[in-house]
Amino acid sequence: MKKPNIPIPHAEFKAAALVAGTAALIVAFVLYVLSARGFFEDTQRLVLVTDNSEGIRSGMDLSFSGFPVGRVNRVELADDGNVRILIDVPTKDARWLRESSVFTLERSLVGDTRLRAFSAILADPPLADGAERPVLRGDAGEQIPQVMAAAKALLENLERMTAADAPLNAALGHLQSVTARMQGRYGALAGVLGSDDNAQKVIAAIDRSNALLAKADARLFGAGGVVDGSQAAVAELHGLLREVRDSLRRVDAILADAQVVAASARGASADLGALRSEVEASVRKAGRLIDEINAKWPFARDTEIKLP
Amino acid sequence: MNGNALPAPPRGPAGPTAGWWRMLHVAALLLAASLSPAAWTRATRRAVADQVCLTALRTLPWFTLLSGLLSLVLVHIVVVTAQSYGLTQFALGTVIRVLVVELLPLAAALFVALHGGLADAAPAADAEDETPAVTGAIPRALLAQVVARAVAVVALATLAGGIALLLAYLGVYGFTPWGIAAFTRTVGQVFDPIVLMSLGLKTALFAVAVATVPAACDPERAADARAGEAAAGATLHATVRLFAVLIAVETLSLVAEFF
Repeated sequence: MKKPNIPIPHAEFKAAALVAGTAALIVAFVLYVLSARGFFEDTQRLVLVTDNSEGIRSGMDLSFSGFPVGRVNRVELADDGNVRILIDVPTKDARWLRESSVFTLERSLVGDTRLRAFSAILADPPLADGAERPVLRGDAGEQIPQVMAAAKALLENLERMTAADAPLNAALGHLQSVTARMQGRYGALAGVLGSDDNAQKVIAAIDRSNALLAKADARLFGAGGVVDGSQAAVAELHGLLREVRDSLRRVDAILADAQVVAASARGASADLGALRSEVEASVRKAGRLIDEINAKWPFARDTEIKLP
Repeated sequence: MNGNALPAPPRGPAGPTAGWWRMLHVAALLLAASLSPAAWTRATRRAVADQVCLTALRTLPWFTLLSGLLSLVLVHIVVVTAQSYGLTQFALGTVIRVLVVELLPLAAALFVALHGGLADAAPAADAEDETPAVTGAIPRALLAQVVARAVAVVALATLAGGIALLLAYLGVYGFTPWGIAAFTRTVGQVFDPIVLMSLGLKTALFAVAVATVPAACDPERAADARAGEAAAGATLHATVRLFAVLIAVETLSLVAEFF
């Protein structure tokens, strides 16, 4: 670079202004970054305990309802093997964290790990400084091996199903042969019955049945058929029934006469009772008369009983 | 070769290692002289002020314009790409990391190195400037140029970083104040202590390298010229060394940030 031939006016002032401006920008930027990192904020400590610190880094946010309310200060390994995540929560934002708050650590396949706080009951007591809370982990990456195993099993099943000797493949082959038969002359009937011959037999049977039905119709309902004969028989039966009805009417009259005769016979039976009484009285009189004759008769038997 | 430049150090065994060692030796001398309070006489301050005005203030408008355009294009590309992939939340952090932390300090160093002219690593001589700033050590003009280059690199990187932050905010949130809280949060997340220290150290090393390496190569160039070597080839030699140093510094900063 060539030295200037003309002196630069106010060169020292300009140089000092440039240096001062640059220094001011640097100091302002450093202060801005420190402020952005919460260096000048009053904070309280929250310790989250988990069993895996993957994805957690210093400076990441703890969010509540999508708003950052804390920042991870550092991550350390405890004596019991658990991970302790030390979080600085600004005092002005600590009101969103309560004793009943739940903390989650979510890892997605793409993007950052997220620390979230959920406070369902904001009326609960506020979270104390230095409180320790467990973290519920939701890791999409951890599901990948299970998903891969399931997918592998599914693919193996699919491979078995589509193998040359697989039942599904055979069934599809059978279905294909059935549908191929159904495309023939006799359609679905050939597909169901197995061949065109069988379908032809069924159709022939149907034809014969139709012919038989036509003949039966002629015999049943034609002129001089069974139906006509039946109608004549019914008419004849009707006349016969009329005659039977007349006969029954006459029988009814005879029965009425018989009833009258029976009543007369019942009166005659009462007279016979008196006659019987008289006859019995006459017989008893005749018996007493014979006894008296026998008593008086010399040939009467000695009926006296002699005691020894 | 300028008559006011550093006296050529005694040439040791030839070879790339010896060359690098001589360069480091002279660069250390230049740095030590720059930081020496005894060197900062009124004449030296005047010379430094002139060189700062020549080197930094003249390059500032052009570099501000070019870095602003570069920032605008990169912010737009990153934001649009992030939106198309549904990753808008990462756009701002990516832009800040790429521009402010990585690209702009390197761009500032290269701009100062190239705009200053590596061939004129040492200023032209005159009777006044041949006076050593420190007796028996560094000429004043050379010292002024070293300081001016370092100041230029830091100033350009700082201003370009500030403009890039402003453009990134406008590119992501637009002309609204409601994104300041989220923007501040993202800046705080990007600039963790390691990144902040890495950025500061990297910019400082860039400034030192751009200021001292071309001047430190000058005695060698003089010796090479005396040996009949072409001056253009020696300038290319200094350029390669400066780029190698810049790449080494950038690599070290990346290692510090990501490993």
